[in-house]
Amino acid sequence: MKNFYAKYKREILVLIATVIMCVVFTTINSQFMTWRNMLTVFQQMVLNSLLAVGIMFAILTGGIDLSIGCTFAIVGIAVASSCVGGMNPFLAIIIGLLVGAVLGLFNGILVANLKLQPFIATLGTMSLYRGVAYVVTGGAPVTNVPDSFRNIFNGQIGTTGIRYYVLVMIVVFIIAHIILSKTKTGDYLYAVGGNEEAAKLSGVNVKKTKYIAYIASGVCTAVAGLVMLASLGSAEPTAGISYETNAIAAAAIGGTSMAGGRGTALGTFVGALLLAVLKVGMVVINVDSFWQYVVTGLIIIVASYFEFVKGDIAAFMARHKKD
Amino acid sequence: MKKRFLAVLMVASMTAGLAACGGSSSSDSSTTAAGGAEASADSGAEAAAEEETKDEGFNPDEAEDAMTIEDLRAANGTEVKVASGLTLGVVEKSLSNEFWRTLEEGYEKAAEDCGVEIIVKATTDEGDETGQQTMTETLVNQGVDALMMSPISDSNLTAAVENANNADIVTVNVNDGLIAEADYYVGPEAYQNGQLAAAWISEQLGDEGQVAIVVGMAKAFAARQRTAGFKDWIADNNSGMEIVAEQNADWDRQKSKELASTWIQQYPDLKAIFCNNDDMALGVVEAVQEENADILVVGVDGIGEAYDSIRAGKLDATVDSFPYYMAQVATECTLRVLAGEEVPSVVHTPQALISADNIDADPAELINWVAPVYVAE
Amino acid sequence: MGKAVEFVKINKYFPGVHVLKDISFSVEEGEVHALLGENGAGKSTLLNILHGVYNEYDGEVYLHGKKVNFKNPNDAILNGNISKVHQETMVVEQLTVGQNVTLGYQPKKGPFIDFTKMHKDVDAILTELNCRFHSRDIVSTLTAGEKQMLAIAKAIYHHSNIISLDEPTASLTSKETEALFAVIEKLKKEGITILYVSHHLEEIFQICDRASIMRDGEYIQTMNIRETTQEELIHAMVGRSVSAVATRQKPCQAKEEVVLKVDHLSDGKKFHDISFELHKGEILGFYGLVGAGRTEIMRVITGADRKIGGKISFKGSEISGNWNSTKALRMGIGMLPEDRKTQGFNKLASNCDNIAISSLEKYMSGVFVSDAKKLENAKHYFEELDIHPRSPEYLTVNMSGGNQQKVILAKWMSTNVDIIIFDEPTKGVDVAAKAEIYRLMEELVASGKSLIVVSSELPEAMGISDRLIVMSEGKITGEFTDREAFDSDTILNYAIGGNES
Repeated sequence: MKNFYAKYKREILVLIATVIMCVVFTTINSQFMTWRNMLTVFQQMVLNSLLAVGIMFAILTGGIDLSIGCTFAIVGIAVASSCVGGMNPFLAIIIGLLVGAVLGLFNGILVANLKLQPFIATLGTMSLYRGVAYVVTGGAPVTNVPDSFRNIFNGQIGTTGIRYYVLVMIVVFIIAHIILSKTKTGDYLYAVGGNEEAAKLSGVNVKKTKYIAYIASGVCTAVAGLVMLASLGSAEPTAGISYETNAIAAAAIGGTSMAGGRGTALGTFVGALLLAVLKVGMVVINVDSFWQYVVTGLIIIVASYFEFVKGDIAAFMARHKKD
Repeated sequence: MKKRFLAVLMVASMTAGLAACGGSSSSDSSTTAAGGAEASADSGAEAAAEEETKDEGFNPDEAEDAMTIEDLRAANGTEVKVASGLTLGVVEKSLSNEFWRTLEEGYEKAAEDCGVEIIVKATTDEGDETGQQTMTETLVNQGVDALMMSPISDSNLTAAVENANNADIVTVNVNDGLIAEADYYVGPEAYQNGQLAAAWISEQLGDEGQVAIVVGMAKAFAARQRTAGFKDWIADNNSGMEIVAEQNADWDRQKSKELASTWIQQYPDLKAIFCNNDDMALGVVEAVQEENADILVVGVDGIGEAYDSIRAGKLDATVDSFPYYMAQVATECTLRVLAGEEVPSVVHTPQALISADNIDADPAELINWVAPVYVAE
Repeated sequence: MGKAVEFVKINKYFPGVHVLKDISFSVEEGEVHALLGENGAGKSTLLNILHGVYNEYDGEVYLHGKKVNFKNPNDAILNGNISKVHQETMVVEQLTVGQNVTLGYQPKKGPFIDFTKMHKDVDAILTELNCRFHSRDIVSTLTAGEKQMLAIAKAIYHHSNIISLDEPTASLTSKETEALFAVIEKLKKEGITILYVSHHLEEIFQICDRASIMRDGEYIQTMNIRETTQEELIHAMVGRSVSAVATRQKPCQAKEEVVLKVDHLSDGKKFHDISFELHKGEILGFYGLVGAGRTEIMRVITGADRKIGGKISFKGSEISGNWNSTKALRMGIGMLPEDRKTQGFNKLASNCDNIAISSLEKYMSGVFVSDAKKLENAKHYFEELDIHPRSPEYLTVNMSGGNQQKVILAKWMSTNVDIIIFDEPTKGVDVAAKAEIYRLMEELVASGKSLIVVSSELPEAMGISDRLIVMSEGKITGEFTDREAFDSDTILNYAIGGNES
């Protein structure tokens, strides 16, 4: 137990902060702490948490994936078109995941083979992918996605109100957690992010590790795209604009170091949970929309302050000194 | 350690403070949000500028000389003279939005009817303010005879319009956002938008029950006016309906859906949700369907997907401002100005609330549309 | 002469550790005073107290008889006239020398920087220090030694009369070191007090007057250099007798079998036409001055960088296709890089994880990596290599230099590689740990491994190698096959590119 605390200190802190926020919201409006409202919180964290766990993979290797919002839109369009065209929904899902993987791999190639800075490379693909989304659709949304597809994610367990896509999120996080903490790939991801040169000299296949990180980012984003499609029943080329900022925020609050090498699936989960509680809570207590941005910003800053006092400044400085 | 504690304390108290003041001011924020554009008295919108009170900025809904297109035709005659060799420039927003695509089709129809060349420029996304400005400058430099513009914000085309005015190019502001410096404004009365929605909801609900509003980012004039029209109708008619919530969803379908599902949990007695546009309304519809709630959802714009949704029994109503006809009216007004006619600074275009009852009616009939009569000079 | 610096009963605590225990001694004005001790003895902490990096401690510090407690290093420079020259000097590469020297305190003419005066002042100091570069030169064009001079110039610019040098020769060539010593002599004549920290005992004997020795946070004694011997110093530092120079305790283990053969290797930039063989059980030394291209060769051999021409063969089979570190690892070759901090290990990872990263296959239980097996492996090597503290779960970055080196060695021993390349194995490693590392090298060859040792320290290269290759400017200039016949003058001559005299 003591070990668990030492290992997941940050995650526990964020969880405690989240609980405190719940208490505050409930004090202001008792409606907040109801079973139905908690379900709403979990439902609303799904998209952001999936994007966040994806981008966390890229960040772990010392990179970033700014293109997730656009990958998100493309996957939605691809799957929507397939389904509307009468394809078997499960086949369409596989196509969606493949599209996400391919778009992620392309980012990986830019970063690992062409050695572009991840920020610039994915800034490029962000515009590129968005352009593809517009070109493919001619700007128009793809509508009328059949229920056979939507029910796969939107259905609920009995009458509990728990939707399948919440379970999908949990499964994705369990897989991410296992990959990071129990497999060779996980160790390699942390090694590359912690010190790329040392990892390379230790015989770690840095390129392959980066491919995996960006593919993981693409696939998690694709899952988010599927959930979005099921939930809205239509895919717009404009979907997901600026969603990457919230995803980065969730990862950062959960303790992912922007310098790479540190971060956990559990942390990203609680980070996304905190943001969802904040979002729903502010609506419930009727905080003005404009102020919501202010409050969210402050929370992110406080969270990163905690991250920085933990010695990230040193890592940050070292990284820049090296350049 | 002490320092860290202090920082946390500070932010916690700030957050609490913000929450408190945010909560109290939420009900009236979007009407008092300061307008982006400064009205200038020397422009063609003099009447509007004189009319404006406080710091609200240019407001075409309140222009004294505003006319509908029917009134204009009655006053100036139905025939429009068209000189040969005219070129008109159009600047609008993202063609990924169906509304603007339809507007473009309207311009094409008008070009075909009057035999004038119309160059249409559109941005790739709804946030590209500087890109739109560049497009406008390019058209000014090409030497078009008139510009019809639908700017992204109330201010991004200000400089370009001033250049156009200096070059004696007729400037017409179409739909939204607003350019105080433009010579003319052609578009629906956004305020009436909200009024139509409120009246219809009131009728459906027997004038009682809780309602909520999903607003778009208040940068756009239309968002503010639609919301204001909706709220004012309820206040002015002593309606029994109560507005329990009003939140921004950034014109984003996913965000409006999430907002609505939170509300549905929080206000079990919620009876209707009015959205500033159809995109957000379609998101809200998904939330309502998911929760099996019995809530009226009304949008604005009248995009094809909204029509489909009404036909499918999901969306309840939308206020259609018929961009296809709006573009034709805008072109007609512009050509009237170029022909030397007296045209008021604001011309309102027709709009109508579409619900399951009248959805299959011919829109031309709904608004009593009569095509303009162009006579080549 | 008075006392330039006097420490009185200095005690310093870090959470849970008593790092300085009742330190009291003094430094005379105008002397070169060495501060000696193993890594972790408390030298850096004491210097940090002197220079205002730490200002919370028990005890008193006097400068020229006046009690001081600086708020920060800047306060110390400006108000105490006391400067520290760090081993990796902090400079802004893109600015000129003058701008770096005067940074923050530039001469002004109205609101603008007076560049004419700046360069004039700085050039005067540089001339004084016999420097061959000028105030208007861009810092990125300077060598490591010149940057060190820049830092000293900065101290002079601020009228410092006490200057601390922390491992100043760590990245200097021998010529640069000589130049530095000449400057130190000169400063001393001008009455400036020098505090000198170094692991190189021969340097201490060359330039220092007295030496204060610390061990485990305690002050041991101050010795007069002219009245002592190297052995006495080491005994005081380590608390027992240790050999300071690299020596071989066991006979040569080299066999006939060639495990690595390099033919006409070239990277097109730093080295050309390199050919040599490594035999099984051999310790092959690579000596040369800094920048001779030795590290670059090793990086190509281990797959970290690309080659342009030539062949590399392992155990008789030539490598083909895309050579990279992953393949090199599979071939059984590993490297301990010179720059441990930036290339040797993951700062964010524990010893256990840093040891395991190259050999994860070994710790699988089913499809998952087992933390328990990793820990077991790490524990094994902590015992075998005598790594202190015995804490596999500690972050490697918090270990001392010698123990970090052992952790990296443990990583390669876990992968069971046959060829291990040591690049400057004892850089920044204290005397006792040095002897440990030499002992381990001998054990490694005894167990059938083959080693390449790249070193810029002649005694080390001569002391540990079975065979010695000398390089100069990217080319092999000499090879010595008989360790009995190693001759320092000849080797040095080859290293500076000269022919046999």
